[in-house]
Amino acid sequence: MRKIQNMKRRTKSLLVLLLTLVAVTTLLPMAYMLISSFRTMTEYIYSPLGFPSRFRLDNFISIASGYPLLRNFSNSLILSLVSLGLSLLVSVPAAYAFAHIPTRWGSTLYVATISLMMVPIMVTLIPRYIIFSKIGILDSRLSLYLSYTAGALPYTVFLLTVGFKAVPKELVESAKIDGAGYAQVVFNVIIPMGRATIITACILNFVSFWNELVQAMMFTSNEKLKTITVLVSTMGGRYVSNMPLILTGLLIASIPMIVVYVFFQRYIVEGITMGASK
Amino acid sequence: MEPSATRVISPTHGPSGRRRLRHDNLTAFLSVLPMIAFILAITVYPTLNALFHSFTKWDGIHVEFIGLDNYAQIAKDPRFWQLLLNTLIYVSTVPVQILIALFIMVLLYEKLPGWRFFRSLFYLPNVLSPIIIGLIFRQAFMWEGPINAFFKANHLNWLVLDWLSKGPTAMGVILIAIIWNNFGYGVVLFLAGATMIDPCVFEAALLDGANWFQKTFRIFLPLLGRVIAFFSVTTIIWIFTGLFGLIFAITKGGPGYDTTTLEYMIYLNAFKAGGKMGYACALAVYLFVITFGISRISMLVTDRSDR
Repeated sequence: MRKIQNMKRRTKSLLVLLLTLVAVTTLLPMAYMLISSFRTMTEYIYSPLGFPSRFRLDNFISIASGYPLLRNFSNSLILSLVSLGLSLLVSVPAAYAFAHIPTRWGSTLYVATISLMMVPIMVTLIPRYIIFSKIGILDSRLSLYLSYTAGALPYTVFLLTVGFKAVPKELVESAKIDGAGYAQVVFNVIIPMGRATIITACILNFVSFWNELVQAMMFTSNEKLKTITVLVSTMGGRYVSNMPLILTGLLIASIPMIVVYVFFQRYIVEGITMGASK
Repeated sequence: MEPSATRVISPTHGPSGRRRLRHDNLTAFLSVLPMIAFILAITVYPTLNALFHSFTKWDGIHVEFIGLDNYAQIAKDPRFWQLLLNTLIYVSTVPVQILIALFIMVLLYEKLPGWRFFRSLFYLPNVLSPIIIGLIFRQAFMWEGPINAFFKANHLNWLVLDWLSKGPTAMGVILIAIIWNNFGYGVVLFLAGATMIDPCVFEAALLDGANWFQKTFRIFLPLLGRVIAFFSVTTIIWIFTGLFGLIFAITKGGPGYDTTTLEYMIYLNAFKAGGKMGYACALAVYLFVITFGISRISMLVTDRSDR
């Protein structure tokens, strides 16, 4: 009996060891980014692997003085937040209708809407580019607000409809009988009761807006509109040889998402598992 | 329509029944109207526009109808088949990802100390921007980068390679980046799926003396079928349509077209190679048909297995 337990303990510790190994592999690139950001170019050329000889913030200072980082960050933030607001504004009423107002065409339209998730961005990218340039909104934030929102709609409507369906029908009905109008039902019943789903949708969308690259790259060329991901994508070209500097830039660019993740991961996990269970 | 007809149809509710339905119809319609407008203008119309232009020679301004020439030209081009092959090689990481995620899931399922932390950690790469992940990997595998330095320091000189300048090794770097980027998604999904399995199944298996290996492959693998299928399909579609950032950062599709995917080729044709936009649209239609096909087939398969 003891022998079996010993064996079990041994396999268990072996498994934990393997788990730790995978964890280290996952952490390694990020840890490397962090450590290298405190090293100088000379240190790096001498040996790309290694710890900084002393703690210094030189790279952070040169990045901050070489790039209008604050502007890039605020561009990403404005873009993400406005697109987020716009996508909620459009999808909350739609999801409410799909979940709680019975019509003959509702379910067909719902299926058609969420099936648009299947359209790859590369299919719409070229026509969008041409259309935006024709109506004169290329190289403006508006082009990105519109295409981000449109891109996010199918999945957002899907998440919210599932979430709003969980709000009891009786609650909606009794609010209506008490004389609540459309806006009152949405703001006093649907939104408070569906809060968790709304937050989930917001976090998922925020992450994808913030990380988006190809549209931001194609639709805007003005320096003043550059997002943080577009900035990062050009860094390699400018500092070809100064690797610690590039790694510092990558580190700075990844901090916001790490922070969002640390605080809101519950919602992210919920959001992605919701997709699988349906 | 007429009041008299209403009375006949719903005698119990009186005229208000029909009116309520019509009122509901209008409210619902107004609720979805902004969404419909958005989707029609910014997703559906551009999609149809791309379809139309796939039959033309188009540089963004001049349009010349050429029928199926683009499609024929693409199908005849050996490069097109190479792009598909490249993509399929990237897809070959899916079983690897499933195995890694399954393995980790089984460990975390036992609620080892710190399992929550591990779960969070493994998913973290999924929220990072692909361009950031890609540039870290590019930097790591450069000639004078840390990977080569590591091999040199450990006297593994045969592994000191110019990774990104040769097709197979450059592809290897992208394969590793894909796995690193995405396996945590599998961990989270499988873990959520596993918690829905009746614990009695495990108690029974433990009583029968099932070991870790049997537990993984005889219990989890079959019971998680649906979740694993979902993971596979979403990951395959992501590989077909969402690798732009990683490839752009790591190899820019090179050397030559050795690591280019169909998706990346659309970008190259439309915006880099002198604006062959009609041709790019035809490529996009091919991509759309392929991803649509994958999701259709997967739906049929999962529907059947449910029955």
